[in-house]
Amino acid sequence: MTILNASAVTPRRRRWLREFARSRAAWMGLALIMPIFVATMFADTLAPYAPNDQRISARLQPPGGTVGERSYVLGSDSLGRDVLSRVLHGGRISLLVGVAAVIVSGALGVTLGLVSGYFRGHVDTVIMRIADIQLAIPVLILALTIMAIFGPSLRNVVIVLGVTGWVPFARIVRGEVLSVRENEYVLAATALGAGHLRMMVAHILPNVMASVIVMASTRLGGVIIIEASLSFLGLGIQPPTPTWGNLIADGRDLLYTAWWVSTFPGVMLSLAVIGINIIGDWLRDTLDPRLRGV
Amino acid sequence: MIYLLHRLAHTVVILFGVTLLVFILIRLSGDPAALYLPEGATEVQIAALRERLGLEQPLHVQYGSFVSRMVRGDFGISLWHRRPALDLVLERLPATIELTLVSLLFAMVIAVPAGVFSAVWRNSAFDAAARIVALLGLSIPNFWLGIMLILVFSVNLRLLPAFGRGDATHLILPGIALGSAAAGTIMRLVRSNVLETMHLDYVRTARAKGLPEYMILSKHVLRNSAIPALTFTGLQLGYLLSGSIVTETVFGYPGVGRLAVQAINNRDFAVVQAFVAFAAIIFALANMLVDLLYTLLDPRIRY
Repeated sequence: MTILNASAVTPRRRRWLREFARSRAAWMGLALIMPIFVATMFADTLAPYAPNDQRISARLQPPGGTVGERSYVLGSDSLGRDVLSRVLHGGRISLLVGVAAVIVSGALGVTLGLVSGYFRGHVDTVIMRIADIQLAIPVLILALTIMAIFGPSLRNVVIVLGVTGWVPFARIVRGEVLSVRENEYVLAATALGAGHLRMMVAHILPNVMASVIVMASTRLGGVIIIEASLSFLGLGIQPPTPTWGNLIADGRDLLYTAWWVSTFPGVMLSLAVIGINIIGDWLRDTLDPRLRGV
Repeated sequence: MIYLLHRLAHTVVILFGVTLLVFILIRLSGDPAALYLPEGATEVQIAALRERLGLEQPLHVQYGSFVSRMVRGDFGISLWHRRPALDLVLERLPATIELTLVSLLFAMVIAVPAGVFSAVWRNSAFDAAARIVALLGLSIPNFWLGIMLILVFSVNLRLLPAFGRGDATHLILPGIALGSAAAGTIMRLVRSNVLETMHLDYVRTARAKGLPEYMILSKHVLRNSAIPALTFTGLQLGYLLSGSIVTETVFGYPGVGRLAVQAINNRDFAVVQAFVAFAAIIFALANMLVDLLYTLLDPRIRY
């Protein structure tokens, strides 16, 4: 009985942390993503050289090569830029764009899902039909088309990835809201005169946040890959700004002479996505087992 | 039958929505008349062309004629190739279908047995290895995987061709690059479904009456875990189509995906339009087909 009581009074957050500390998978994910995150966020101090610093005399140096007093740990590209510095700086942009895009689509999807599930009826039908229509066009194709129309830029990439990613959030939130709004405390709040907005934001939203966090963490890896794909195809963030996608594209034509130019940014990109996916899987299994397979 | 009609109506509504979305996107892309005429065209020329293209009519009338032309298969003329956009897409479609099927086949051949045995030998070394491989498949971007495959098998080992389309060997590397993510997803799904099914009462009954394990697996477990995997395979078609855009670009493979990238770069919107419409149609039909296949696999589902 005492055990039961103890766990009942343990704050939710602390229990969650304890579960995290116990999970081997969670630590593994963290061990992958944290060094990459820290190294890319502090690229300005950690990178040996400026990402766009060109030295034609030092072009296509293999990993470990040195020219004068400069050494190229991961080699240099066709313009003599240091691959390590570009990978670190590029990672910062790729990761931040991914996070920003997921926040945009989360905000959009949560709002539409809340409204859809709360008001039901025609509003719900219209929003869910729009969701169906958007799902009928593969995200990358939609994103490419929109980028071609509005022109590639960092801001547009965030907007496009944000706007095209709202559907899974809206669907999951709508489903939750449909069941949450049947609870008696919602009825009680209505009786106390809570308005629609207060009801949605103060009473219903906190109850669907767990699913939203899980969804965000499982989407992040995919969004980072789509951003890299857009950059790779030349319709994302434009060179010379380094992003992992741009760097991989740079090395594509150099495969026969300089394998390192494409390889290292891809390794970093893959490791980051693997780490994010491991943590996402763990969060899903811990916080919201119903989402398995989504 | 009623369900079938309902499903069909739903698909039609979705496709109309897609045409509306495409119409809006194309209109946002700027004045089509300006795209058709060379720079320095006079006001009179522009006005004449706008008249001829029907751009002076109200938007809903324009949309109506846009849809009716689309239904008749007229997506406009490609500005770049000077040929009907539909012809261009249809010409390259077989190559993409070939690649998509190969990658799906690759994914299924790897993922279904791996998923089944992963579940049967739960927590074994095989299970751990299979789950790690699935995670890698899901996490490694297909375009980079493609580049690495080229680096290893074409540049270094000189075993397989890296570019273009030709005999069956041209499909191996792009097929693997494109199918790896699908393989990861399908493997995970099969594994969790088999795990779930294996603990159901009827499987215990089958085991209790002395049925050999392989019979239980093949007749009872697999069939019932196939349904969610099938849904996902249907949905995967959409992702594979997306993936074909990048994969075809990496491997210089002459399919619709590469055509679409070129069209987008050239602002050749007739081709983009045709491609998006085709992608949506294939996706919608695949999903409908999956729904109908359910009845074959699970006789309890009747529409």
